[in-house]
Amino acid sequence: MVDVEALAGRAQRVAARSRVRMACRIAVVIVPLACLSLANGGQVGACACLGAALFAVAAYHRWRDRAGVDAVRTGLLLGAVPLVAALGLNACGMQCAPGWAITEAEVACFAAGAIAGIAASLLVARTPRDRRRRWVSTILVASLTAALGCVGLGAAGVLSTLVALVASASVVWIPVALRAS
Amino acid sequence: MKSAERARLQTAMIRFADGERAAFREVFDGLWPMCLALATRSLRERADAEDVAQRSILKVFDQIVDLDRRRDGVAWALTITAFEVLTLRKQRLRRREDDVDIDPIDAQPTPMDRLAERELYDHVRDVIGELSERDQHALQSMLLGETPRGEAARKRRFRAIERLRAAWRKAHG
Repeated sequence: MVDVEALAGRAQRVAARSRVRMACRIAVVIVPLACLSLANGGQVGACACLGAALFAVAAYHRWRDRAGVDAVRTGLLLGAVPLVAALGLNACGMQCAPGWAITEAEVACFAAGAIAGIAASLLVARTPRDRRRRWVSTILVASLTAALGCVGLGAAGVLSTLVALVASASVVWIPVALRAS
Repeated sequence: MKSAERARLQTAMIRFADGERAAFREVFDGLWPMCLALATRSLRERADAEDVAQRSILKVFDQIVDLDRRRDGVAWALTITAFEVLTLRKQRLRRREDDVDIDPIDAQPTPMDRLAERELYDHVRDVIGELSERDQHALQSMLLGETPRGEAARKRRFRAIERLRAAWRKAHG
């Protein structure tokens, strides 16, 4: 005779393990991104830290629920915009200037970050529910992905990208949040 | 299962796959009796059926996070159970074959075995007798251990075996 309660407990544990496994599968995307950033001139320590942080955030959101899975997907896709821009800049031999000087590289990083931020807010605004939480998750993942991508250009590149991404996303998000409340 | 109940179970499965942990019990309570009923219908032994149903329900929960929301989740769970039933049947069949290979002493036929074997031969002969003369000839040459001469003979033998299989299935299920 089957002990149904014990079986239910086992099934619950199996489902929990499976969810963790599914969440960790995102490493398949994040590890190559970190390697790409490393190949783009990023320091090993910085790339490892940002990669680990991105993995932790992405895995947690994916583990939590379906909205998190969608947010991570959108965040990674949009965070890849500054990453590609950084790759292009590096390929052209452009680097961010030390200190607070603004060069073409910073402007390009700023523009890429702004595009990613605006697109993230517009995409999340279309979703039917859990908008606020999705927005926070998407922006967090996109910011970490963008930072990982721009780390090879220097601190100024990372900073300008992050400022642009978060500021533009917030500016676009405010009317959406006001309309919803 | 009524369609309303099935739709409710499907919704619960989607909710659980989407991350709502509280929907677990509803999904489990809905799927377990169905998997057990299918396994019981498919297997003679109650113990085997319970083993298969347990394996399949654990497999369902192992894969539920990847559930395709557009498809019927209940049908998917039952497919897993049916697959487990088939796997058990295959394992049993293979084990029987292995036992014959490994332990020839235990394989000494008892009078009952001999009787069953004779009956089996009679059935095979009857079924072969229903086939065309050409097929009978091809099968006879195979039973005598002759190697087919040429591609045509090989194909004829293959087709004869296929027709024998079909006739056997038709006669004995």
